[in-house]
Amino acid sequence: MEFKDNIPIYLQIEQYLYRQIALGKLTAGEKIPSVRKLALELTVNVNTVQRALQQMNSQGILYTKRGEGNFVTEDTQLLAETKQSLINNELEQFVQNMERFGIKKVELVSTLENYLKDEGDQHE
Amino acid sequence: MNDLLTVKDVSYKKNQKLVLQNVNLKLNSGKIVALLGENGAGKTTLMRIIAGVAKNYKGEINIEGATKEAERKAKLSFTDGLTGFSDSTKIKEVVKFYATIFEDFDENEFDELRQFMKLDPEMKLSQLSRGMREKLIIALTFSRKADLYLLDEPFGGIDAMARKKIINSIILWKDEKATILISDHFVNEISSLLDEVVIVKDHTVLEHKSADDIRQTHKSIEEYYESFYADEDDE
Amino acid sequence: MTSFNTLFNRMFQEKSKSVYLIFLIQAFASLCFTIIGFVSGNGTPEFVNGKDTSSVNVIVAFLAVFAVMMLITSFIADFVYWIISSIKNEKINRSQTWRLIPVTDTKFLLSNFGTAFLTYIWLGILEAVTIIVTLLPMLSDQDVRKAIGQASIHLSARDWQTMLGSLLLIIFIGYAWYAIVSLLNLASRSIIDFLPGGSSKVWTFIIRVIVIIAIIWILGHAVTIIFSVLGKFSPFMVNSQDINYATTILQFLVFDVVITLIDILLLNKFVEAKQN
Repeated sequence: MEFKDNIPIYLQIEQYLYRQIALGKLTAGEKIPSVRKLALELTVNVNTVQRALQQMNSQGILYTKRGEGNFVTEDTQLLAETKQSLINNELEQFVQNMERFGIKKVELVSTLENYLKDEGDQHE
Repeated sequence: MNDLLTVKDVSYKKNQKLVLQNVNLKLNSGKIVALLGENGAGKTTLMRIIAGVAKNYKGEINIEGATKEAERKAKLSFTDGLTGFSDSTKIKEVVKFYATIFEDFDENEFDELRQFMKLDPEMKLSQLSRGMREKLIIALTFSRKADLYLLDEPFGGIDAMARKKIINSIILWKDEKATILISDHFVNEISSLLDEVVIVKDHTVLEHKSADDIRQTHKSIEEYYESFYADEDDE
Repeated sequence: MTSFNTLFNRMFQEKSKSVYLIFLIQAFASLCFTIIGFVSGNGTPEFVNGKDTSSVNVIVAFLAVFAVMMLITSFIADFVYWIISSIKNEKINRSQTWRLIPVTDTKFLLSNFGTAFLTYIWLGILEAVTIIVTLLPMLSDQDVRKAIGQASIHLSARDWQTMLGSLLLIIFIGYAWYAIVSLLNLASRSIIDFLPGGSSKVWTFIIRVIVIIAIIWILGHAVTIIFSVLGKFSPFMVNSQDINYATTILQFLVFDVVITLIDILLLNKFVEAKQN
């Protein structure tokens, strides 16, 4: 995975892991890869991964079993909230981008509906 | 946190030419730090002074309480160009030299690193490509259990795969408490790895910042580094 | 920290590689000369002992000639190693690989000199053993045994003293050689690094020549001073001959110590490892 070099890396690692969880690649109660493995996979410093994991621990998304590693929380409500906040983020970006193209908020729904309909027609 | 390395008021001249002036630098333990600067800015000289192989400097160096050169040498591991060996020396003979000379050299660790780097112990130094030689140097340097690792331009003139191997070996074999100082004149390839950045310019350490502090201001490490040389391009 | 012993052993190993190489070349050359001698020589080999001439076994004769050849070539081989070991010493003094070893500069320098000297003796031992072993078959000849039996050697206490003295003197003079070569190299290197202009080859060469001449001149004077001071000081009250001998040994010892101290100072304060 490629990092943007102008945002603190630990934040990007958090984002990356949130995404993995929201996409179902990491499920509730599952053990996440070791710090070193993550560091290697992402080509980052072990310290940086630890910092990200610590933050996620304090938010409750992860929990640590002593001597075993880090696990995704089994609190499904929290996971749903996390997923929702990721979806909200995406939507916010989408809305912002559309505004830049001059599409007002009131036109958004119809624009999206039209697009989805066209898309559907093409596939049939 | 305790300082691992303190460089205090270090100045150095050679052939009556100023190379470093009033260098001050403090590094904590457990960090990966880039020493950035143009070619000829004095990065290598600074490392050689810290390592105790450059002489006749003013100022003081302290590595975990060790100030004398011989004691410092015992606490740090510096990438050496292996010029003390003839070209016909085999890798395993170089390893034997290191294993007998350095008390903290771990042969098992070298073996792991050697396999990771895919180096054949029977090969002679003259048979190694630039990248392989650099990988060997890194493997030897990391096989010592030192407090401070000084890597002098480990990525100079090597291909992308060798670079990737070296970067991964840094991630995998770095001891939690050990600090690694990596000099380079180009930051992109290692920027995601860094805790801190030290800029060497105008014969001294111009700035020393944490990588996340730089990114917090929405600047990339590369932009930050280039900003020190921006005015020169305009001229 | 690396111990003196470890460093010493390692340096010895490193330097003994050239000892073995030189020894092998010498042995091969001696073998060639011996063969050439036998091929071009005619008739059966004969040994002359006084009036008696006796034919000896060809193999015994061959080995004996080989021993003589080894003895003759050893002068050349020893001289070559003398030069090679001096160069090797100075290379190690400026090699970053070696200078990164965690030992004090004093131990470093003493180990460097010591191993150069010891490997030199090692070469001598190898040669001596080879010569003796190849001469041993000669003992199978009765006349030879008789000749050896007749040559009785009586060594008095004085002779032993003289031998011991000579040995010491040889050691001190040999050591002085390595110390002086280092002095020349380290002093000129310090000055080259200090003066502006740096690394042009011609410039370096000129400075080296000047420094070498200057140091030899200074050494000449220093030796006169050391020797004249010590010459008046006679700690060994035996007879006049012994005094002279002992004083000479003492003079060289002091000379060696002084030069070594200067070498250590230069290595510790000024002479850097070569950048690589």
